[in-house]
Amino acid sequence: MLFNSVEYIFFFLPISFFIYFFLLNKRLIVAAKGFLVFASLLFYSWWNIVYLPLILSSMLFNYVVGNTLNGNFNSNKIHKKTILIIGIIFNLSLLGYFKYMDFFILNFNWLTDSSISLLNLALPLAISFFTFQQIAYLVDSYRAETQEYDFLNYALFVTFFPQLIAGPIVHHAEMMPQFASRWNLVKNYYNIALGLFIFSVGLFKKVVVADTFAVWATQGFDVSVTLSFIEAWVTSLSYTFQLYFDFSGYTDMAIGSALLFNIKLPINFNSPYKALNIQDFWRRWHITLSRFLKDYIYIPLGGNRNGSFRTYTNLLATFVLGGIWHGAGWTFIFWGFLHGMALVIHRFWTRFNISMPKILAWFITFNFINIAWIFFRAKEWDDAQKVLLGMLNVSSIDTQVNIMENIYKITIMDFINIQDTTPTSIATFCFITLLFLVALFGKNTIELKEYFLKYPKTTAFMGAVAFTFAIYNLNNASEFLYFNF
Amino acid sequence: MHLNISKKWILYFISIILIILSTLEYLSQRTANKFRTTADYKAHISESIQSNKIDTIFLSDSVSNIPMSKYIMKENILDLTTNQAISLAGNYFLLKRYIDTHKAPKDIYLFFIPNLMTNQLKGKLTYLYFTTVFHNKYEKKVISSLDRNDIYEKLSYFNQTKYNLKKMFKEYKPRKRVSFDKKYNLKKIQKNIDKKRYRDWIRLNTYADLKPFSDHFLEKIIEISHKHNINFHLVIEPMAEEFHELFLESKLYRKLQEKAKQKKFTLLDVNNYFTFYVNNFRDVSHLLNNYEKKYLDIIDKNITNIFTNKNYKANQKGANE
Repeated sequence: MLFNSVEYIFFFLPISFFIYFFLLNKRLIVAAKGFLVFASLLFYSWWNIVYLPLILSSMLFNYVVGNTLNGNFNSNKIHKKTILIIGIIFNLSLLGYFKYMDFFILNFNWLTDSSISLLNLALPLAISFFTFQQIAYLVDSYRAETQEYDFLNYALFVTFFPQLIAGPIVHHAEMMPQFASRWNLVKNYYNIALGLFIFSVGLFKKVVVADTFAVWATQGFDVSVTLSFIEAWVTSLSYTFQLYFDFSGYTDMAIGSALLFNIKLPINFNSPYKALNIQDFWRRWHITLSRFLKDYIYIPLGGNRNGSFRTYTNLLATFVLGGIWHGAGWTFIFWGFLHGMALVIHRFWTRFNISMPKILAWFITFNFINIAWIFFRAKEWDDAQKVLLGMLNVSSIDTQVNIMENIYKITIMDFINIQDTTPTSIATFCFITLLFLVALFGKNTIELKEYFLKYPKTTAFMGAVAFTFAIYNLNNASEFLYFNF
Repeated sequence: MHLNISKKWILYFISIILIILSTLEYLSQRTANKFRTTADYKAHISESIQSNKIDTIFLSDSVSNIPMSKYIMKENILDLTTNQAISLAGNYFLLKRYIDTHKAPKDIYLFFIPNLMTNQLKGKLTYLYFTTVFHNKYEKKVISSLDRNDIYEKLSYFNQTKYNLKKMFKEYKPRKRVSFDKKYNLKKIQKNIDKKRYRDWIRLNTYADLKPFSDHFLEKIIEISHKHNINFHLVIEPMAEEFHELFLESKLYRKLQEKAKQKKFTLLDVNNYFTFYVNNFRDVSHLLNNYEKKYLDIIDKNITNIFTNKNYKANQKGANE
C-alpha cells in the first residue's frame, strides 16, 4: 500500500489508529500490539500477498537465531560464531536470490559466453530494509548488546508499517524500548498533532513536488533520444530534486504515521543539499543507512584504525557495497564507487588543513552529487552517457528558449498545469529555481518542528493547505523511488 | 499546556481542511464553465464554428486527439476529437450539436480503440463530462433515459465517495494476474511501459465487447449519418501488434464487422498499413512523438487527405487550440 493513496490516508491509517487505541483503552495490550502486527502485514500484502510467507519466515528465523545468540535459548552444542554466520548467510542468501541472482546470471553469461536463462523474479517489497535491520539485530545479539525481547515486540519491530517498506532503517535498540514502554500506550495529542503536521508536509513533498520533477526526469532519461544543454541540466536537476523530495517526503510520512502510535522514528534527512563536503552530505542524507554502513560494514572492516591506506580502502569498499545495496546493476556500483572515491579524496584533502570558500565548497559538492545521481538513475550506461553529453553540449544553448525574454509571458495556469509543461519552458525553469531555493534556504521538517508549538495556528494552516493541495493531486499517485531498493 | 495546544491544533487543522474543501467544492460547482477541458472547447466550437468549407468531421479519443492537435490539417476538416472519457455518448453529442446548427458534412470518421467502445460512463471521472459539458436539456434526457441518473447525483465529494465505494465492493473481482504475466512475459516489456496498464490492455482487448450502452450511441451516430446522407467511417487507431491481434479475435471486432455490413458503413484499420510495436508508444496506447507523425501520414495517404500538401509544417498548436 502506498502512503500517498486514498486507501491509506482515509481508510487504513485512521482505522488502524482507532482500533489500536480502542484496544489499549480496554487494557488489551497484547491484542492491540497483535492488531498492529496484523495491520502491518495487511499493509505489506496489499501489493502482493505472495511474499507474505517470506517476511514471516525471515522474521521467525531471525528471532530464534537472535535469541540463541544472546543466550535466551539454549544452544550449548553449537559455537555462537557459527550460529551468527549461519544467520547472516541465510539473510544474505535471501537478498542475493531475489535481488542479485539475475544480475549475477547476466554477468556470468557475459563472461563465459553462456546462455543461462534469467529467473525474472519480482523483488519482494522491503526485502533490503528488513534484511538489514535483522542482520543488525543478529550482530548485536552476538555482541550481547540485545535484551530479552518478546516475540510480539520483535514482530512489531520488523513489520511496523510506517517503516516497513522503505525505512528509515531502524535499530532494535531505539525501537524495542518504545514498543515495550507503558508510556506509549496512552493516546498523546501532542504526538497526534505533530504526526499529522509532518505527514501533511511529507505528502505535499511527494505528491506535489517530487511527482512534478518525475515527469521531466522520466522524459529526459527514458523517452528522449538526445538532449540539448538545457534539457540535460533540467533532467539531471529534476532527478536530483525528485529523489530528495520523494524520499524525504516518504520519510516524513513514515515519521508522521508512526507518531500517531507514539513511536518516534529516527530522522533520515537534514537538508542534504546544503552540505559543504561529501562527508557532510552523508551525515545529512539517508542518515539511518549511513549509520548502518558505518556500524556494520566500515567499522568491522577496521574503520580508520589501521592506517591511511586501509582507511581509504575501507571507505571505498563500504560505499561500493552501499551502491550494490541500492540495486543490482553496474550503474549502482559505479555510483557507490564515485561516492567512495569522493570520500577518499575528501579525507586526503583534510590532511592538509586547507580551507575553501564555503560557496565553492558547496558548488563542488552539489555538482558532484548531481552528476553522481545520473548513474544512480540511469537504467543503462547509454542513458547516463546521453544526459552527461547533453550537460556538456554548450553549443546547443543558442537554440534554446531565451528565458529572460519570455519570463513575462508566464501565467498562473502554467504553474497549475506544471506537469504538462515541457522541460525547457519558463514555468519549469521557475519551478526548479524555486525548489532549489527551498532546498537550500528553506527549513526542513526537523526545523519546522521547533515552530510547531510556538505558532500553532500558522503550522495548522500550513499543514492543512499542504494536505488539501496534495489530496487534490492524488489522482496521479505514483510509487516511491526507494520501493525499488 | 501542551495538551491543550495540541488539541486546539488538531481542531484548527481539521477545520481548515474542511473550509478549504467546502470552498473548492462550492467554487468548482459555481464555475462549471466552458473551456476547462478539451471537451469543453470542442463542444463549444461544434456549435459556434463559422465555416462553410467543412465537409469532414473527425471524432475520436486522445490517441488521435494528441497528434491531430499538433499539426495543421486541411480547412475542410473539423477536428472534434477529445478523449476516451467522454465515451461514444459524448462523441454523439458533439456530432449532434454540430449537425443541429450547421450544414451536414459529407464524411464522418470515428477513430477508436476498444476503450472508447467499451466505456459506459462508469469511469472515475467520466461523469464529470456529463455534469459540466454535455448537460443541455436534450443530453440530460438521453442519459437519464438510459437509467444513468446517478451521473447527475454525483456532484459532491460525499456522493462521489459513496459511488466509488459502492463500485469497489460491487464490482470487486480477484484478478488473474499471474496467468497474464506468464503468457505475455511482462517482465520483458519496455521499461517505460507501465506493467499494470499493459496487463489491463491485454485483458481489455481479449474480452472487448460492444456493450448495450456503447451500441446505443453507435447506432445513434449511424442513424444521424443515414438521415443526413453522410458517409460514416469507423477507423481502428494504432495499436501495438500484440493488442491488435487480440482485438481482431474479440467479440467487439466481430460485432463491428457485422454491423458495418448491415448498416453499410466502412470499417477501416490503420494497422493494415503499418505494424506498430509496443515500443512505439509512450504508454500502452498513446504514440511517441515521431510515431504521431507517422500515424497522421497513414491517414493522409490511405484514408483521407488531411494535409494540404506533402511538405506540411509541424505546428505545435497546443491541445486546446
